[in-house]
Amino acid sequence: MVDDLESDFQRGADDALRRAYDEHGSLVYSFCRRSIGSTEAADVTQEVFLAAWRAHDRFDADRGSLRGWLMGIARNKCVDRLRHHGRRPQIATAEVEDRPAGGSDIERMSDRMVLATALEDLPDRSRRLIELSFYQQLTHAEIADHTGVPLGTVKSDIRRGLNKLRRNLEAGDV
Amino acid sequence: MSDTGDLDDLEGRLGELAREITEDDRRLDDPPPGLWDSIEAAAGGAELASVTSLSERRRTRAPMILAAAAAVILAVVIGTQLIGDNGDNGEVVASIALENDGLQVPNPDTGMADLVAVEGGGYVLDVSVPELPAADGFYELWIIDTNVEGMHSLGVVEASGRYQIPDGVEPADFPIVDISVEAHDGDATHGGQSIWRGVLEV
Repeated sequence: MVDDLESDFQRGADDALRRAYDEHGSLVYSFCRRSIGSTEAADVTQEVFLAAWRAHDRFDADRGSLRGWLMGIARNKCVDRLRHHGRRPQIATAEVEDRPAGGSDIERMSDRMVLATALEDLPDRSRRLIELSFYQQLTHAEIADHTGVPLGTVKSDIRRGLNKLRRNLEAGDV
Repeated sequence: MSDTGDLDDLEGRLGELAREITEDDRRLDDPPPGLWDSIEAAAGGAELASVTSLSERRRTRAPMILAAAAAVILAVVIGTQLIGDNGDNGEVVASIALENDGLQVPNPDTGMADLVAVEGGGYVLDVSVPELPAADGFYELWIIDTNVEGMHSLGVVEASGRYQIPDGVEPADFPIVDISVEAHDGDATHGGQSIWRGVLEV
């Protein structure tokens, strides 16, 4: 049996919260820190994991990944906090060294951060082909030429990779 | 196949998003050490153990416990319903469950607030919360408008009770019920850390 964190988390298995925290804690914390600042980031990170754990049976792996679900909860709580303090939901710019190209919207930042980690999770070949599409903006035919991978394989690898990425960016039930 | 166009779209949109990813987006920071311990403490443990160990944790780890106590929860709206005459003077016009995450108290599921219209006019908020742990500060009850701009303090909360809503204040304008932790700093404004929250539908 493959050890599947998502199904273990959904059914509330004993060590699933710790494993989820080990796997996704840094992403959630880093996002919170950049959204609301370091003073409250640890608090909100804790709230995210506790809220997720209390609602573990509502997590539905068919609707999205655990990572995406946790980040959806994190987004909501960060926006909540910012509204509570009378601030508009923008990035705490003191935390950002480089100006984000996409603007200061924290929803967009969450998407970028999730995409970055989800890309790293892809199998090597899928990832390499998708990166040629994303960053070099090559067509599938050009990718096939460039890599020597048959066009049909390029298409199916990319399709599988895109579906995995999409899973991370569509939040499940929150 | 009909999903090819879909996927092309997705590839385009994700590509655009990917090209916006910065070094900062990729760089992940570890949470502070001890955060997991705090989460684990708040999430698990037998109720008896968590109650008896609360005072010990308070001495050694007050900031983290206050963090657990300050967890703000998603509102649960039950909706306007006539619960019926509750025997005291007044008729419950709206009722909500207050939610709380991580606060180590018995029965964390039992926070409730009832908006009661009293005979002769006016409203009280009948708040029922389990035992509030001793905090570095005090607890205060608020009703807040949906923009989270205007709010009224209904006073210090030590336990469940009925809290008068000031004459002239329309509960429908301030539907967010909020219990916050406040420091003894003489600052009358909401300190920003809430432990119970719900939204009345009036």
